[in-house]
Amino acid sequence: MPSTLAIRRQIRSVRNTKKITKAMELVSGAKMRKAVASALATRSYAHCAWDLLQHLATRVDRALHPLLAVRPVRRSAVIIISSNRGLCGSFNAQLAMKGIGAIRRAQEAGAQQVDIITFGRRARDTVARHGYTIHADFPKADITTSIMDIAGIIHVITQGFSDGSLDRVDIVSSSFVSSIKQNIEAWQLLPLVTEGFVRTGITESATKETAKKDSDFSQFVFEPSEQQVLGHIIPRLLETQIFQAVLETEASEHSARMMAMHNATEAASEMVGDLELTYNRVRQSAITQEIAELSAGRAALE
Amino acid sequence: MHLSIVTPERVVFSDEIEYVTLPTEEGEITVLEDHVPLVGILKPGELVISRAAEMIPLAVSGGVVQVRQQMVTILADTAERVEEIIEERAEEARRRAEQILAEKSFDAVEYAVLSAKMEKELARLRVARKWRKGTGIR
Repeated sequence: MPSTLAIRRQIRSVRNTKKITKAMELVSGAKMRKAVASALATRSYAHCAWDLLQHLATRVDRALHPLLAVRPVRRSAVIIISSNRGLCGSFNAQLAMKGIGAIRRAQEAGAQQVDIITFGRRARDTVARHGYTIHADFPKADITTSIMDIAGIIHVITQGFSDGSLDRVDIVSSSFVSSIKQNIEAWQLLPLVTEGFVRTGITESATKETAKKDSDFSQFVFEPSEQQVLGHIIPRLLETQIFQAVLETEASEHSARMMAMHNATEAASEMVGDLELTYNRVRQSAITQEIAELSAGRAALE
Repeated sequence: MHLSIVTPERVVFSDEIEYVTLPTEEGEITVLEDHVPLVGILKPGELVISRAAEMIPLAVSGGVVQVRQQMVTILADTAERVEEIIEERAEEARRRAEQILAEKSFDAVEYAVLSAKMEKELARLRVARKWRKGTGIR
């Protein structure tokens, strides 16, 4: 039996931990609201942009723009977006595992080289620990506010894809569904796929709608010219997709952390309850013992 | 015909309309019912929506327009209704950009950013002035 003093000490320590996790829950709640608001605000823009990109990719000559090219995959890139901080449950581990899955799949599909690009510290460390070489790591701010924050990634992949050194780009990110549900997924950014490609969350409805309307018309009129329009919009629409993925991952991160902290707080409460019960039992048994000893002593005297 | 105008910040407009006039790189175009499918680049300027005998002017600062059957989607960098533009502030922003442009020397990227900003502010001002005086909105 542990002493009452030891149990009391343990209760105090658990209570302190509970205070901390409670505070962290509140903080991530506030951060989550902010991140979710910005992810949702740009969602319809990203959704329309993705829709437009897919439309264009089916209808124009792919030779018109380097980013529309489809080549046999020799070298591919996987971008893994994650968070900088832990304490958010299995969120980062899941991202890293999905990332490793995507890397393996690329290797099995025949890519001779797979470049791993990480954005966010956590997945970078996990992936590196699994023995993969990170090709490029971009430092991520805790809250991404401007598209300029991801300019580096955009540059690396558009440059690589345009000059033919990259043939395929996948992104591993999390899309925010609700504060208790996040979809962690790997999806293909380049080359632009069109047929039967459904990305959960953001684009599901749009893709269905597109498929329905496909037969309605065949060719777009471009203004000023096909080449100029494509040159102007494709890079920007791609940027928007990556940016949206980052925002959604951040929203997911904060909600995952809020849930993790909520669970931790609840577990702490439960633990305090258990410990209090043990404490009372130990105290009571000590009292009972003393009384028994007292009455035994008295009985011996009589 | 359905028109939706989306910017990275929000959905500015989404409703049934009769026609819309937009500023493209090639000049102003008006999209009516049954327009051929079109993809075009928008430049900063004035966009006018006509809905049920009502004219809604907006200032846009560039973007992309896509016309599909009975559906116009505008992905704009920014789009503001005339009521939302504060003329003094737009004027001040323009002047500030002009000043910076005149004072310092830049690399190509900075220069492009600034002159795009100038153009955008000018478009806002133009739209605000025109519609406020012309139609007596205010």
